[in-house]
Amino acid sequence: MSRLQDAIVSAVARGDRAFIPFLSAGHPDMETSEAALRELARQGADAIEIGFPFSDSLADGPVVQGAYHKALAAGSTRESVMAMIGRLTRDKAFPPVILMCAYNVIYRTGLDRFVEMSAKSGISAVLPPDLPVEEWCALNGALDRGGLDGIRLVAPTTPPERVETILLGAGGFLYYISRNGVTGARSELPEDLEESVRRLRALSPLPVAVGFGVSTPEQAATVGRFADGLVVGSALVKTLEAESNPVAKLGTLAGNIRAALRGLGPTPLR
Amino acid sequence: MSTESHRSAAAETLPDRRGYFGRFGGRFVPETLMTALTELDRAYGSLGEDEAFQAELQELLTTYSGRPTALYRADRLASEVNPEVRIYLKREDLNHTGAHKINNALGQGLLARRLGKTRIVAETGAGQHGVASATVAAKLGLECVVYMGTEDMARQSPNVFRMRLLGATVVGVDSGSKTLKDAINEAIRDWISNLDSTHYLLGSVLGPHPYPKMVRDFQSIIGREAREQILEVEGRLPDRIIACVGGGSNSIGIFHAFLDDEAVALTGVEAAGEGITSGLHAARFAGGAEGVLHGCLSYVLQDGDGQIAGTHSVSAGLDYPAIGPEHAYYHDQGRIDFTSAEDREALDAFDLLARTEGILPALESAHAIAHAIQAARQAEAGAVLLVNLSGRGDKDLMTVARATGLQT
Repeated sequence: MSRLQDAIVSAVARGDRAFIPFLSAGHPDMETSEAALRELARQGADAIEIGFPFSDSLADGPVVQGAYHKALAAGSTRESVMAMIGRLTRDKAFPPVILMCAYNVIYRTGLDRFVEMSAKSGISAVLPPDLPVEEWCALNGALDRGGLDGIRLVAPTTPPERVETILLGAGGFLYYISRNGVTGARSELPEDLEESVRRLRALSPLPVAVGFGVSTPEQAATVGRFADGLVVGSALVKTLEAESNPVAKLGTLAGNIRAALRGLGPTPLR
Repeated sequence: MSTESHRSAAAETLPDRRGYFGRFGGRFVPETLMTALTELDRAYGSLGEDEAFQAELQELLTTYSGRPTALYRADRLASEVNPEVRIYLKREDLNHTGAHKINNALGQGLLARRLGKTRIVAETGAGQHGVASATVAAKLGLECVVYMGTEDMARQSPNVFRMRLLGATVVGVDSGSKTLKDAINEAIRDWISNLDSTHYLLGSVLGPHPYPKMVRDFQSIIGREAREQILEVEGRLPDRIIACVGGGSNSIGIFHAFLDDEAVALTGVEAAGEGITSGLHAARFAGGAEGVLHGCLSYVLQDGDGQIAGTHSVSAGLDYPAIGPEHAYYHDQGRIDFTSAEDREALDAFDLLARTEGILPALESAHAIAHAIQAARQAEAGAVLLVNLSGRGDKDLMTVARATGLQT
């Protein structure tokens, strides 16, 4: 079991659900970003998803897009992002890092070289949001050689037989996209979310984490009843837009979501 | 006119089942879209045998859009540059809505209705595809939302007005470079969020499979007609065919029927903007590298980190950082050669065609005319050139007036 998968499974084993916060690297600038990511670790994140800023991110709503553009405008580059993550993971207690990265950035760097750079920076897993399972073959090879997990996504539109294909070669955890749409906070959870996640967990030997649209501690507690873990992105990213004490504001929201995912019982409902 | 007479062998074999032209193409999209693309591919695949669909499309192309479009011999233009050469213009500008874009919009509009969709979203750069989409939506009773970069809305404002008159909602996109690239991002995000009701009516030979194939097939009527027309008037095939290339739909449309005719040279003209060395251009084969943008692998203007580059062209329709994957394939095969024309050359060509032939070309098409002028100067006596005049220039009058200092 990889360190990432172990972190998720251990969270569930102690009666919690895995808390997987997301931030964009370099947003609003590299220094604040580094402090913010350390704050997420301090608040008890089980794993941390870091978005690699990209100019044309298809699956993201305005908040994450805006963060990416701001990070790029502030001078984020491949080298500076990798170096920052390297500084974080030098601390062996830092939670496993999942790097979410548009496939073009990986392709342009060269698959093996990108995986090598990621491994050197202490990254545990790579998540290309625009790479469907049909196109994973080459990246899988590179990830295997580098000893990294590849995180696969399942959407509400994914038929069950396709889930089985997606699971072949998937690592860490299965990422369930809660709704058809782009990233961003929503006031309501989809009605059929519980049913969908239960069906997926029945198919999946990997733990299942839910993301897209979950922004509050209340929603987190609801999702925690039936999922192994939860990814929260846009709501956290937004706190870093605050004029004063952005990192403290981030810490408060992250801490509240963390608390909502504690003590939910030994296993999620099947 | 029968247009079934000629299909190139390549049309039957490329792309492969996964949407690849050699190593270009494919499907690089979020998982959420995969089922919709599979359904689209299946529905599109069944249309070939569907006589009712084909008959309805043919009927609309004829009675609604005015096909076949004329093949016109531009003798005064030729006499200005090289009287020994014959230059033919394939008059796609004479289509309903003023450009080749309607060929694809009609095909996909009928397909959307067949898929039970009630709403279409589209992107547009120059506004021609947006106008064609809005037109087809009005005709078929579909709701239509068109995404357009705010910079393009400013420079192609007549088309924004036209779309709104046709009942479409035009949504300005203010992110990134505020041009076609950003409009496509937003159209895809809309589609992901409204899959049940909505068809994405993509306007060029770009995007994830099956779009590059489907748009090419709907546009290849241009070349099939032109091939028959030129054989009728010249008794032989042209020596060279010239078309401008943004995403590449008008060019692949006219080239496709001639791919197997090795004696026919095919030239795609990209936008060199203010010059390749200035960095302000949209010439993918001059400065691009292999990459993935908007769902397919092709040549993409980008930096060393893989961030997509800003582009520049006086013509909104060519102002785009990637090129269709089929063009990338034929570029590498050496079957299509690519060159570029600068803003200045396109504006000069616009002016020359207007004064010698009484035709105002779209600034996109003026890039093809600009290269045709050069090619004609260098051509041997008796040479026959065929240029795809993909659209008309009414939308560009303000841009041309500003660039040339003319009073309006």
